[in-house]
Amino acid sequence: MNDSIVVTGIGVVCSIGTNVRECFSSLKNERAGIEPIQYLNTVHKERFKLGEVKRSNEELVAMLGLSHNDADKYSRTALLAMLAGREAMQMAEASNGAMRTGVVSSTTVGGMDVTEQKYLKQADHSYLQTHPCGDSTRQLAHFIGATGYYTTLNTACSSGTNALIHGVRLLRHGIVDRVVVGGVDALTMFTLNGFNSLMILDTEHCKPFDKNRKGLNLAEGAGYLVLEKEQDANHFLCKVPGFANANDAYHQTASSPEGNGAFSSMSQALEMSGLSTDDIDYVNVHGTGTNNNDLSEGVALNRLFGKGKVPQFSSTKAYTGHTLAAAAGIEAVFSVLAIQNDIIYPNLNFEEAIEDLELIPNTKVLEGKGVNNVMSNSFGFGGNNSTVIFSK
Amino acid sequence: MKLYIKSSDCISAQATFESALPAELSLPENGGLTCLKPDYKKFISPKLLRRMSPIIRNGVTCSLSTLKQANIEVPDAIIVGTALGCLKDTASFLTQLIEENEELPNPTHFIQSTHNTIAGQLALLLKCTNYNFTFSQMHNSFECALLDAQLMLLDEQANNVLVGGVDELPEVSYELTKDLDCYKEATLGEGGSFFVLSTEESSVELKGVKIINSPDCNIEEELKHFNLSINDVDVVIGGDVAENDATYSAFQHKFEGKPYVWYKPFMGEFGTASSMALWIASKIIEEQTIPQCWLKSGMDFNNYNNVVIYNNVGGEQSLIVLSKN
Repeated sequence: MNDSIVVTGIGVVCSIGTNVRECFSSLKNERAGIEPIQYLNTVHKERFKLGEVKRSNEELVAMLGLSHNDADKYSRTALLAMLAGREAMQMAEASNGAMRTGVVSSTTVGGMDVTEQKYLKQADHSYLQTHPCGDSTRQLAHFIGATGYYTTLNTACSSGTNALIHGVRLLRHGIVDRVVVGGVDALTMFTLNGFNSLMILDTEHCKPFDKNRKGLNLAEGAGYLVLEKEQDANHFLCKVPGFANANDAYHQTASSPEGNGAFSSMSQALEMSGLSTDDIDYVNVHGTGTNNNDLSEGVALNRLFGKGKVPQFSSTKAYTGHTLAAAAGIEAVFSVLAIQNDIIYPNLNFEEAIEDLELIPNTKVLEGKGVNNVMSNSFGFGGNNSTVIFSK
Repeated sequence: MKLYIKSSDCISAQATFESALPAELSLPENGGLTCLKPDYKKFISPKLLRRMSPIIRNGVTCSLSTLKQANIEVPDAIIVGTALGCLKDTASFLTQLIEENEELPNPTHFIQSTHNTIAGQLALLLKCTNYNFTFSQMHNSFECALLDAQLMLLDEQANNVLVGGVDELPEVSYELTKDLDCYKEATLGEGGSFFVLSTEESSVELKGVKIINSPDCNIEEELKHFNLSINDVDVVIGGDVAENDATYSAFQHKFEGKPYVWYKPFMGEFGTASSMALWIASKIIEEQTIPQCWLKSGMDFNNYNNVVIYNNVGGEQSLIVLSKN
């Protein structure tokens, strides 16, 4: 059960690019994707900025080579999943040919983008076929020709890492030979108004880990990794030595002031990896830009690494916005790229440290220093906390 | 390593909660089947209860009863499967949004609309900081949760896992889904079952769960994975939704002459209905008898070692195998 697990492919689509190359270029050039609303149908167009994928559904259908007539069969969620999933698989294909491939995806609202446009307005309810969370995963599996097991996690904003954890189990037990893991969410009026009702949206560009942060920018996208056992892979991008899931058991939507869940998931992942705190070169923090998350996560970082000893860290959500279930998948791809390219991304918009925490994220593109081990955090509603570690 | 079902409970349209396999079943009238309501207040404080939608009430109550039977206060993991999650809160939030043109809607419905609210509420109530997962893969949601629990125990990452499946059928979703192709012949329902899956010995052994996503399913071949042949199987539980359900006819034919149990006509069809089949299977092994009302065909013969559960909705298929220890 302790076979070494490696990443053999990555794929991503989000507000800063429709593939790995575009996203990496945006990351290096400090180009954020958070902009006034272009695509989402909402009365709040003038009020909020979002991290939209800058393509209409019709354009996504064309990019995927699907028939224009079939466009109605897919939610935007499924289209985003298929775009990022295909890229990850294409990269991994080169590594190995015929294998039993599984898919473990995740999403928080599934095909809500379709449902909310037709609900109460249409007598024919066949549009509900795309509503279940599992629909986008089934579409993705069929599209990339993955004939093995597929499933979907929904643990809110920690989902993508939990998909990875389940995927590793499947590999180690031989249920699949190769597994696509990650997450996807499309922007919806449902989630925009939901987060607005919780009053945790920033109407301006978000400022993760800043003293004057006001909330998050909602966003969309998909991010997937292809995982294999090291012994089965011809080549690989990096290893996945540690991961963990823990529950804060504090509040349905808020994190505990002591950062208990975050501390548990980080320390358990570190323990599994066999690494020490000194080995971590970069932490891609959850860092949503909300008052509660950044404070709680910051406290947990200080507890784990020691005040003044926290490694370089940044939240890439100031680039992409918060993509909910896709966040962990997208940030996993960014973490793999950090290792491949020895680069640490800046935490855009940071000005002033949160009082008492004394935590200052990395604010410039850092290159040329070895990045061997990266920790990535993802936390969600329901007290759900997950951490994964990637290593060279 | 062998895995066992240490305890289980079921909330459904029949008198299953805190009960043996009922000897009498009430037949449904027209419309969807809703759950018989247990005395929730035995498990949840009135203050909390008021805020909980049916899926959360039923999921939490069923879980707490299951844990109590196993004498476990805090499980090593909580794993929930739900096909459609918290539909009532989702529909309430969405309706308010649309009707009031995105005026500030009630955040409570949004907070409770997330699929992992059931597992999250359980973590809060039990102060359980351990592993906490929620699967949502349509008609295999429960099976995926069960598989994750099984693999986690085999990896020795846990000794006792609380695992279950639950869904709800508020009126609004009954109206929306009753005409969908995959449910045309079925009586829709709601409810769920929870289990403590354990490395500690009990009378019911979980041999395993197999999820099959291809259109074909060769039962003989699949049974070989569990070291069983058709002859070894003492009773089968099918997901038939009606007397002449073509989806299951080939499967039933393979086991001709053996007791064939069905449940969906009186407990309802829904995404995690198969969790109830596992509860029925556990009870058959514990009690070694099957009340006549559960048998679609065949006779009760009071000696049950191997039980096979088969579910197939729209090609998403699963097999679960239990044995007497």
